[in-house]
Amino acid sequence: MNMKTLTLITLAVMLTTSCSGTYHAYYETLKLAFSESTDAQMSLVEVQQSPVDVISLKRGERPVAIMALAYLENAQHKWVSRDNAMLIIEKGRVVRTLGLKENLLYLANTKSDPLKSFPSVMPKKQWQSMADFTGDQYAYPLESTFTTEKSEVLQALSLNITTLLFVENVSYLAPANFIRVNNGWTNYYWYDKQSGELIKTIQTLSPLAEPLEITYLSRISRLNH
Amino acid sequence: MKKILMAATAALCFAGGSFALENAGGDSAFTTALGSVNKPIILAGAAGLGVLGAVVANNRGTAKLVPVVTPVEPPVECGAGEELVDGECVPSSPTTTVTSTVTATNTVTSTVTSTITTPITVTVTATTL
Repeated sequence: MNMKTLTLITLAVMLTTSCSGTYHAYYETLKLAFSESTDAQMSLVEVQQSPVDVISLKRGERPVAIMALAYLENAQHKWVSRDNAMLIIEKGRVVRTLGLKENLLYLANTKSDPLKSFPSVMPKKQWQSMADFTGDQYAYPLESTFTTEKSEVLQALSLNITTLLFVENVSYLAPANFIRVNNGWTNYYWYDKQSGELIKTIQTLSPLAEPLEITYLSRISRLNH
Repeated sequence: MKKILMAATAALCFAGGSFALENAGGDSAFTTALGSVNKPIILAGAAGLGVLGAVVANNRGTAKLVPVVTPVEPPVECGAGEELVDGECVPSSPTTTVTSTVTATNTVTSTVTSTITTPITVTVTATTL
């Protein structure tokens, strides 16, 4: 089969496909399924000019969203999204979520959370807590073990930031009435080595929840590098 | 002791510094936010299988043909004083009774033709006195 014949066949198939309503619907469905979702992005200048502090959030495989700081009260940062979701973060740890399909309702024992002394004081090695989730899931015991991983250079907003990475291994101690694949997960915290500010974290709230990758864009824009 | 004091001072510096610089937007923060946190994930594999299933189902063509039923219009009922003309109700004509006496004279002319067939039978009855 020469090139001319092949081109003619391809052209005929394309024209036939575009004329048929059903095949056009198939084509549109597949195009939507395989199209890449676009991430919400802000440049360094845009972040610096923003009157409100912003973070970027990547939730599981979803595209990146930009959340803005709505309230700063009781030592809690309350970040909101355009679609009315809210993350309440206490010293770097997500302690409450609203507007998601599955929400973290309450996290106990946050007063003795070792994250509160990061990174200036060597953290306690272990921490225990309990979590309540939507769907009548209450008092699930969690046990964390912290380790200082290493120095790492992080890239964000076109900047290279030298960070100190802390790793938290979380065990989910609640007995399950069904077969559970994951009984634990790992959370990551990157602190700027120079200022000691938390600039990025990846946290999972429960075994079946999607990880939340949070980058503190406004904090990064204020770093003196 | 010196180390503890230094560590505590550093911790206070970090804690104070990070809060002092941050700007909260209150209710207007929603307008600064971009994108969706709850955007549904479309699984390409599932969509592909769905389309494949649709192609197969459509090509088999086993769908039942539903006969088209033409709706029957209900009979037109006319009201009092109306009558149905060509499917429409029109006012009926008023009934008028006329009484009249007619006098007429008729002249009747008729021709009678009789045919006698022979033989003629005469029956005589004799009476003795």
